[in-house]
Amino acid sequence: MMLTLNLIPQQFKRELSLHATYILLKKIFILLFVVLCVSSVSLVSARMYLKQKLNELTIQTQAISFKTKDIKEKVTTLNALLKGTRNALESTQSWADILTAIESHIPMPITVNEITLEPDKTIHRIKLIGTSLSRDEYLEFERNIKTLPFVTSITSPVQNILSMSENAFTLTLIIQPSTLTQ
Amino acid sequence: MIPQRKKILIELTLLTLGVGFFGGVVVFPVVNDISKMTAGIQAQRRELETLYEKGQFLRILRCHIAMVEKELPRISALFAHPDHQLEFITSLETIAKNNGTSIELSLGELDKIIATISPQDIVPVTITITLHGDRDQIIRTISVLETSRPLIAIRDFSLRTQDIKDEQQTSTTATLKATSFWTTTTYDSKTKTECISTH
Repeated sequence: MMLTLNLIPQQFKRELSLHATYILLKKIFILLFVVLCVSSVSLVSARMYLKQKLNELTIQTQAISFKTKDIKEKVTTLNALLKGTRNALESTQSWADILTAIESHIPMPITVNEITLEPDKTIHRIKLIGTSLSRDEYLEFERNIKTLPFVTSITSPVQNILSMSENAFTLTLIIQPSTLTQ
Repeated sequence: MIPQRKKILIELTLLTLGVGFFGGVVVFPVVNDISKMTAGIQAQRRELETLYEKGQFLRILRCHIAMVEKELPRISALFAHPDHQLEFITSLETIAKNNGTSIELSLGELDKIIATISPQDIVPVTITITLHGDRDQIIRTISVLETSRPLIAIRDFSLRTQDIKDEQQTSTTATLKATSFWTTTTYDSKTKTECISTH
């Protein structure tokens, strides 16, 4: 059996305990102080580095400049030119091919004295005025003309077929502008 | 014991003051500065990204301009220039002559229109062309006119064929109403836009 003697006075014990607490606190504060010192040095270094980088970036950004004035002028001029070109080309229709096609569909006995174009936005009319030696030849000519791919319909007055023999005719070809662009 | 406690208390107080000084005077302002600088760097980075995108866009735009510039002579050839009226008339006469037809030109109000033309405008001017010859020659002439440069857009036409007196031949007269396009647009083609490829 072991006996524990409590010979130290109670007050002295409290003093010792408080002293130990103070020492612990002191150590914590010293540690905190050292950590803060090291952190401060690191933070100050980091600040200096960042400041330098920020200055470099600012100088680089300011150094970048674009000479856009000449580009803007060129784009404006080119746009106007291209717009004008598109308008000009869109308003252009080749009639020579159509005339050639009509010519190739006029048989020998038919004489066409006048070919007139009456253009319109929605519909084009080509009027053919001529003479045929007979009604059959005229009808053959009419059938031929109808086969042209750009001819939507034709207008042929009844006078064109009144006479069995030589007769003057007026034939109007109706052309849809959309068929010409295809 | 009391002096010992006092000593510890003084040390603790000094340490607290030191920690407080470093925290309040050094660490907090530095952290604050770093935070501001980070925001500044991010703003600069965004600005640089925007500038980079702008640069890329300009590079592509320059390449497109360079592509269009290559085609400019062909595009410009479509339009007549007021300073070259004689060349325009001569070219039409040459086309007619080469295709065996004779030509009469009526330029309408060309002079009046040209006088009011402003830069970068492309102005359509109606002209009347009268061609004489046989029908095949006339159709050939029309075909060449339509593909000629400057551009001639035929709006309407009338072909009339008549017998020639005392001859077994016919003569055709074609009256064409056409539009020619005039411009004073000048493009600085000397300073070619460079296309810098990234590849």
